[in-house]
Amino acid sequence: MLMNEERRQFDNEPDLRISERFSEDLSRLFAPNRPVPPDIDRAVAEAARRHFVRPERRLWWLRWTVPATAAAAIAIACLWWAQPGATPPGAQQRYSSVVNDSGAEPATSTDIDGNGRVDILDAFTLARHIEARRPTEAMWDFNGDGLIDRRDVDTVALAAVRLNKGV
Amino acid sequence: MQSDRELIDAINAGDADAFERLYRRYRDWVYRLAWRFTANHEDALDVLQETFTYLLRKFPGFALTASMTTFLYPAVKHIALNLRERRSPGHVGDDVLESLPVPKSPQTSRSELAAALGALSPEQREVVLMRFVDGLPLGDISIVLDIPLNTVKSRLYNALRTLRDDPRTRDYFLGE
Repeated sequence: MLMNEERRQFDNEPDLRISERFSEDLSRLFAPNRPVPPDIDRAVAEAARRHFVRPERRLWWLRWTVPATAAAAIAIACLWWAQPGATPPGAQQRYSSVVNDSGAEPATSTDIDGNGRVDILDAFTLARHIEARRPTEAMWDFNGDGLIDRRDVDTVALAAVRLNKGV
Repeated sequence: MQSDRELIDAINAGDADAFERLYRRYRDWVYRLAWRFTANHEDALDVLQETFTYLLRKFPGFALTASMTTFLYPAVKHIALNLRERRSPGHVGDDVLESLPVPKSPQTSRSELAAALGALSPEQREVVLMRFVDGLPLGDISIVLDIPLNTVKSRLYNALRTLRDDPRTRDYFLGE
């Protein structure tokens, strides 16, 4: 009871009214003896600017790098395909063992697009034929499973892009 | 002048300059509090930077549910005490009072005030400093220390009575 009365009195208790000087002297007592140096201010400001950099700005390099890398890869691939004899001999032989058991010359059977070379474009051409349901040639059954489908496209593509270790 | 909430809204929208303005508003307050906990200029600066790094990481999405000082106080204290623990493992005491340098030519009021404060319990001293140095309202002190408001009032009341009865600090009290 006494403590409750004291607490209520405390809010307006004259004896405990304290001068502003108490707060001022306490603040001076606990004041650091040196100010915050400017480089701390700059570090905080810089940290804030880095923190709030827009994601688009952070990733701006991706916007250019990814397409540029893809374009470079395509250009390199085209240059490689354009080289004379780019088609590995092994790929042609593989085709011949699959497509033509009679041992006849296999070269033109896999040159689906008729450009004189066996390359990735032949795979694309075959793929378009299949997707558009155009007539296909039996000789395009490159994996020998009796069907002309995406697996044959994969077979041509794999052979076309495989690197010849001797080149 | 923008209020704290207006600055917070701007910062949440990505305004780095608004964060800098908020920093400058509370820089000295945080630094003084950090110094009180660390008793060391360099450590206090470290605590200052770590505190605002901690605050910065809360954006975007930070919601100010109390005053900035109520939010910052426990952060500063926690960071400072962690730093002190790393520097001096097992160190006892959570304020700089015991580390205050004794003036060569004693300034009576300051040294006597320090001595009188030293006679208070740590809990009472903390409430006195939070109230009269940090400027926190009693309700905010209750939130920060996670103790009932009546406990805050009780500690403050008992501390002021002790200081009033102490001849070294009696003159601060206005009386009738």
